[in-house]
Amino acid sequence: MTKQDDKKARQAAAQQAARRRTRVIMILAVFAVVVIAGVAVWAAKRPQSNPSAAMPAGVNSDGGVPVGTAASPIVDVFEDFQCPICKGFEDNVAPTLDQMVEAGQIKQVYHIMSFLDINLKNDSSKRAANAAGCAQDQGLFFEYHNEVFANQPATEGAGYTDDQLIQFAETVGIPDMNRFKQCVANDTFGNWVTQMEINSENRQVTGTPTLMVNGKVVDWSQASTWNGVLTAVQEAIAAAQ
Amino acid sequence: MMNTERTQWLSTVVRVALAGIMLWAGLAKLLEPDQALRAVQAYRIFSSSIDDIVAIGLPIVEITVGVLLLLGLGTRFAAWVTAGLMVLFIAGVASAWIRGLSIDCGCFGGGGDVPSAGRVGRYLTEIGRDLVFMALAVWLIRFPSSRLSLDRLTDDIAVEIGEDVTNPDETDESS
Repeated sequence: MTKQDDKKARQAAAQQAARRRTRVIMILAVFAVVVIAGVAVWAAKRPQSNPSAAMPAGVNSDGGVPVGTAASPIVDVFEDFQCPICKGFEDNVAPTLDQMVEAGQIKQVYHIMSFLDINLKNDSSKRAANAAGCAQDQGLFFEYHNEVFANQPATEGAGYTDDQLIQFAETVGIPDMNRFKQCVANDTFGNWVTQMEINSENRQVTGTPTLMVNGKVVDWSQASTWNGVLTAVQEAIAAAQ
Repeated sequence: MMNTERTQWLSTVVRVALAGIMLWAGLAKLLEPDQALRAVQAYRIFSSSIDDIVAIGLPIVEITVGVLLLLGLGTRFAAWVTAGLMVLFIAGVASAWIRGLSIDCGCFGGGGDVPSAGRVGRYLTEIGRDLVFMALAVWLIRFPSSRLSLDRLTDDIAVEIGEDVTNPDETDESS
């Protein structure tokens, strides 16, 4: 190798290193821009916790709606008004639980979730949840909740109209219908609905229906029928008593 | 040796296609962060705090790689990252499958727990799709040099200033 060749090679190597450096800087620049823009979009899109949100009368500090007078065991029920499996649960398992609540054997706490709005591309879960809050504000959450599930549309995603939500309230006998209608129209407890969703997610609830007995998720994954689910729930409650 | 020019144009097509896939996957997650978080949680692989980081970090990585592929900047590097992501995705779906979870992969937004009907078919489809994407990435790792790319532009500039550029197919310029 001549001296000139050697110099040329070193020059080429230096240029190549410079080019690689430029490229790495450009890649890092793209990455930095995406990180900044991505975090900004993420922060804007994530629902904000708003602990000072208006809550319906008588709900727990985490937004859950307590039903029943027993002190324990506490059965947390996570449901979405648009979830067809929740309706199956309501039809087949909930009546037994309701009897246990009635008999003072358990205390139920309802957590109404609203994530199906995203899957179903509507806002019915949130509006129905708000309406249930409006009913709770007048002391009739449980009755209203049952009425909504009883009238869940056969087609998942058909949703609920405001007129339907008001009709349900008339059926269950909400005392002050004007107040209820305003509550629905103004989305009065919208922040409460968001808060309940966030709190449920923070408890690792990713699907509905989910049941917890004294904070422990009831595993019914092995059950193939609603009777099997009911048995699993009853066993979990018996173990906690 | 294949016809270099044809290979380079083919690499351009593969690069842009893969860029579209990664951008779509990343943007869908970023624009529905609640859904993305739910999808990550549904895999039940990470703890709650890590789920948050994955749900924001994954779309950022996907979009970055998508932009790099679209620009043809650091093509081979971006292709390696893509292939690595696909390995992780396949592992994630396979682990959900093995554990008997019934979830939607959340690959292009969406995701979360879903009814278990048709579960096996869905998991197979998801894994098969990831394998196809991985094949595209492997092509780009093998043939990173493509037309209409920033990588090539910098090489062209290098040629103009009299630098000796060896066959780009054989060099590791883009990494």
